[in-house]
Amino acid sequence: MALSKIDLDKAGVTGTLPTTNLDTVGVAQGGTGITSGTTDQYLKFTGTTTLASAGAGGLVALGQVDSGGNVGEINLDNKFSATYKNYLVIVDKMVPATDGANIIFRLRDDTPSSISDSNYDYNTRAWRSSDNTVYLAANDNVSAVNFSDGGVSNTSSRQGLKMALWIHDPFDSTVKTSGHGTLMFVNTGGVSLGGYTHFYYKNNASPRGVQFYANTGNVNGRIKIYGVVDS
Amino acid sequence: MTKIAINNTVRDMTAEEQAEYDTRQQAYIDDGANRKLAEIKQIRLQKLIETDFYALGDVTMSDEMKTWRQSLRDIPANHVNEAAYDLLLARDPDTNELTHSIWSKP
Repeated sequence: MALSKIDLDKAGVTGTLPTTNLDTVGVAQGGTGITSGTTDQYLKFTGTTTLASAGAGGLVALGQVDSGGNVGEINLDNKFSATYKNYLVIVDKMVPATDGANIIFRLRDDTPSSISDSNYDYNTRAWRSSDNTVYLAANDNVSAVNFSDGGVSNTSSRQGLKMALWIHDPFDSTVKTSGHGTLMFVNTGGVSLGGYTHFYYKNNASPRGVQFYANTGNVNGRIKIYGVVDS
Repeated sequence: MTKIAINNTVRDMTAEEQAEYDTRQQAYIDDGANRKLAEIKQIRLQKLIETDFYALGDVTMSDEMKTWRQSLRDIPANHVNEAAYDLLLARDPDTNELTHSIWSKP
């Protein structure tokens, strides 16, 4: 008599299951039912399991840097590529070791080295919470961008400078690289300031990363960078 | 040797990176007077902006206000060294307010 069904538990079957074709096993049977995929895809369950790519307009984390203590410079190198046109740089914290130091920004090339020719224009404005006084820093044709004129407190619990900086078209060497963002910091007197900034790098180049440092002394910072997925 | 953080790796600076870092530190020290003057000009700008409305046609600007605004404009001519800049930038340690009399609005 042919067996139509075997109860493996009651039969006391032992051994190792063959792995051939396991990728075709469905989710209900403990597999994924998926035989292949491409880089950066993820599993998505929609009744059955499928592979999906990042949605339109999503952010893809490209890297981060956490100095974990005081360092002379904090760099994110080789993050800009042809994959994305727009990027978001999140500065979680940027605490200068020297009380009242300013936080400075530059682009990085593919060497990687700092891009420090005098082709940066920028304007940063921040208002004091205490009296609405505006602190501004503006310059043309300079070798770096100042995000925090007026000086940043070095008290670690204040976290120094925080900002969200959008950078557009850095990789494409046929167009200029520009950026803009919002920021806040606490000054040496304990007064908080909030404001906005923009920079414009007016040389045709293909920057690949970013750099932050203090105009004097060291910094302790953490930066994350994301690519914006085009729709 | 100064440290540098790159893509979540912290290492000692190379000799070239250290040289650039050292140059930056020295430039900051050398530029002290200019930096203070720039801060003074920024404070002055804010004070002038706050009182610009006195120059409108339907408002009368007092002679005291005219004199005070002119004294602000004359700061770079009348205060010419770093010691003078330090006096202009002195702040009350408790209130963080500027203490030099030139900042007092009439």
